Amino acid sequence: MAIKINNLSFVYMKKTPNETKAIDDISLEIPEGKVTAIIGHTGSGKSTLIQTFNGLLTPSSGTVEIDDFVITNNPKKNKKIKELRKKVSIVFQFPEYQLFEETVEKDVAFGLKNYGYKEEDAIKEAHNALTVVGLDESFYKRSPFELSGGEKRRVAIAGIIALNPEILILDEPTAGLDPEGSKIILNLISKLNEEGKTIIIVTHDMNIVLNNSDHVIVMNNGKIAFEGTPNKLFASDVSNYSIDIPRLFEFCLLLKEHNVNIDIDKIKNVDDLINQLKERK
Amino acid sequence: MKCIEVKDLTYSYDENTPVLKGISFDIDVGEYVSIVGHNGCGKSTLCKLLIGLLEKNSGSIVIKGQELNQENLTSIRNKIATVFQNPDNQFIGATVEDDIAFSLENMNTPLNEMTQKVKEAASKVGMIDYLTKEPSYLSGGQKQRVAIADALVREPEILILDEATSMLDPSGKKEILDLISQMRKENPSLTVISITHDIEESYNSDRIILLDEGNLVLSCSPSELFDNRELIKKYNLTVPFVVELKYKLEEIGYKFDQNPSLEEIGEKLWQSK
Repeated sequence: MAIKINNLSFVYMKKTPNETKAIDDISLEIPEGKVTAIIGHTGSGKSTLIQTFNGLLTPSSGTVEIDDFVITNNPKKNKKIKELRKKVSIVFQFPEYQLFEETVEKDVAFGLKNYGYKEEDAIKEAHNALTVVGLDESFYKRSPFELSGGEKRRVAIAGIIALNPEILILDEPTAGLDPEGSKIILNLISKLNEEGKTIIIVTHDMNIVLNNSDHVIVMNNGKIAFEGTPNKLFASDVSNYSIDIPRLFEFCLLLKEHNVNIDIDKIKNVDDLINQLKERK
Repeated sequence: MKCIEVKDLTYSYDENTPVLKGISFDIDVGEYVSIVGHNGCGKSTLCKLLIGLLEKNSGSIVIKGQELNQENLTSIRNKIATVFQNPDNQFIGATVEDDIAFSLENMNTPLNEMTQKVKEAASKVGMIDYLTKEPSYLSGGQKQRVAIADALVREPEILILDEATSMLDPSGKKEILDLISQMRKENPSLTVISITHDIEESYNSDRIILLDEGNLVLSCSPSELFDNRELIKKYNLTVPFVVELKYKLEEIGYKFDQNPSLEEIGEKLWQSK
């Protein structure tokens, strides 16, 4: 399932003194089966944009098309929205704050029960989802509140994965986690993508953009400032969008400047660079 | 002069799970110290003990010569400002200016002085245009800048950052770190303690204190730590990019001096091409 966005605009607090245009007439397509990163500085419209992808926000004008679902500015027409939300799920920033149940398995099963699963089936699916995020049986009966930050986040993500969405949207999935916790989440995202899920990540971390994404969209003042591969983005002039070029990429550009023969389009991580240098030796 | 002296500090949330197992360290006035370690190592607990939000089980904390206890809790807290990770948990005012003014109001600051101080703090963190906005209109990064203004306005002697920049975008983060170094320049006696997962940030501090499972396992300069591969491996630490690059190039046969800069590493590469 690809997401097609046509002339989408979104205005907060319309017709009040606080009226703010968060999204300003944008059109784009999010490719199916890829990892797309959405970046841009705070207030650029990233979070607003993703909330239109499953109808949490109704467009002020324009449409969002996913498969045969079309979300328009007329809420009455957006009837099959619940079905859509099962296919397009959002993991919000700090999703662990939404945990509330007595046990981990009950928390993960909550969404499924809302979609009509019987208790028993919901728990079974919950266990599968917990396995996917790397939490074993010993976690099932524990209270989600006594887990570490990284574990809580994985429980929260399991609650979404249990619904088996085709498109998974994650808003700042690694924020506040230690490097090890981040790595676990990023590996999990890669694994889900390899299994065929379309992934959208909203992030400020340019290393995630370079290392983990196929496609990147830069938002600026509610408009799209760039769309393409991460390597193309970082090789272009990014001075206007408050983007920090990853150290690795900056270093590669420096090497290029000094005529070291490397192919920067193929460098996603330090090992890629090392391998290219090794071959050259 | 010592700013903070911690001795044999222990703490446990319940009997079976000690979080801090007797740690001791000193921090000098004006020092910029990073406290690092994996989630659950006791970093945030330590921070809460330092500001008296939690009461230690045993050991002692002396801040600027004063032992931290019930009697002088208030006077010690007046010296310390803390910025926590999640700005939503520390936004109290109805608007940005109210929020920044909150602590000044508690200290009975005269109105015109207060107005002036609020404006100064807000412009330092780049939020001067938002004085009358409500928190719900601000993004996470903007709220965090307000939280930092809340801290600045109290002119603290000790600034504790508990993962304070982890929610900011790159430019916001850089802005805050630049701001902190500017504050340190203006006021060399400002002591900064930063609890951080950002390895690049800790690389720029004066000293790194590493906690592991409630023990203080290391206290040394960043370059000392990152030059020691065994320590890195033992505690499964992420290293700054320049260190990772150096390690991996050494593995394929390049040789470098101690702590080379990126430029120096680059030079080796383009000279040998």
